[in-house]
Parts: sequence; structure tokens; C-alpha cells
Amino acid sequence: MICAGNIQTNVIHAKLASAGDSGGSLLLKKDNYNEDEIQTLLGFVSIGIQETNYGSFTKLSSYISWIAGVKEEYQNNESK
Amino acid sequence: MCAAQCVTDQFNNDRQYDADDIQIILGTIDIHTKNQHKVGVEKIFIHPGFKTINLDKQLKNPLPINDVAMIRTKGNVLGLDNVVTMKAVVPFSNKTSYVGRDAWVIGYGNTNPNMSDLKIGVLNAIKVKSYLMMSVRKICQKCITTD
Repeated sequence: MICAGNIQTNVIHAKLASAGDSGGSLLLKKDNYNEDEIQTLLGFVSIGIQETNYGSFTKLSSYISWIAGVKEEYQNNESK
Repeated sequence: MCAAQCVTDQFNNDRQYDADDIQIILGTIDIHTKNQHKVGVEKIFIHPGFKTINLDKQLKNPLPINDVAMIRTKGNVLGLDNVVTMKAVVPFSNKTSYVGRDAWVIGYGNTNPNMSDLKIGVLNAIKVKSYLMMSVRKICQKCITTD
């Protein structure tokens, strides 16, 4: 059922997100973990379903242009 | 950045919460700790295409679409004294594939598989980092067909 996410293109599927995790971040794991390094945020838990061990994640890279647009609009309003 | 479902009321037609009703807790993973740094919210931006749909009545939870939102905080969240926060970047290209890469998922979810019912509004106090392998649609298609 979790793969109902297939009907949308803007999701990432991954293992082991569970109920209550919704909204949690999905961070890329670097080969050499360094606390000071800037992390890469891939998405958020959109649905976590325990029984199947899969979760559906919002795929942030699909929303780059929306993010940029919101930022631009906000900054334009600020400078007015 | 956050999921749109975090700033909308699922019991009230996904109505957006008022910015004044939301506080962001920084620098801790324990929501019950007394030593919290809180920051208010100036504005919430929800993706205009955000909605939740019920594909199948057997699904316990509706399926969120375009589950993404941005929050403008009232104050700085980086470089505060005694508050540990860190920057994260969003992938700059949607062409990069992360299939097979390892990732962390962070949340307050249920970690006990035998505990199927979580009380609404009660979060597990400690964040869990599950180590996971990202494995995109092929595996998910498999899980549909075996269901």
C-alpha cells in the first residue's frame, strides 16, 4: 500500500520510516561523517507505514524552483 | 523547510495553522528537556499543490501530495550561543539519483514494532535515527505485488 506513492513522481521510497515519523528529515549519509560538514537534506517522511517497512518521502529536489520562487517573492516584498 | 502536513490540521480540511500557534524548538532532540531554545514563526509557505487524498478506504492515513512547506522564523536559528544547530542544503538538481545511497531518517516515530497504536499528540521523547538504504521504485513495486 505504501507504494501508492508511485502515482506521484515527487516521492522517494525508503526503508524503515514508521508511524509518527512524518515530517522527519531524510539526510544523505556521507562516506566520511563530519559533524561540521553541511548536510544534504533530501526530503521529509511523508508517510511511514510500519507493516511494510517502507516509507514515502517528499523528494525535495523536485521542488527547487518552488523554493527559489518563494524566496524571491519574500525578498521582493521585504525590500518594498 | 518542513513537510506541509506538519503545518496543517489534518482534522480540519488541512487548514494551515496560524504562524503564531507554532514554535520551533532548536538545539535538542529531547522535546521534554527544560533547556530549550524556542523561536517563533513569522510566516508559513505551503506548496500550492499540497493536498491529501484517499486512494483506498482501507488506507489508514490519507496520502499527501506535494507535502512540502517553508517556514520563515522570527529570529536567527544559526550561530546562537549554546544552541547547536546546523545548516543543510537541498539538492540543487533533480537529475541526481540517490538510488542505493545511504541516508538517515530522523523522527519521533514508533520504534517498537509490537506497539501498533500511537496515541495522537504523544511523541516519543527521543529522536530516532534509523539507518536506511535508499532503494527507489523497483523495490516498492515489488512490495505492492507481494501485498
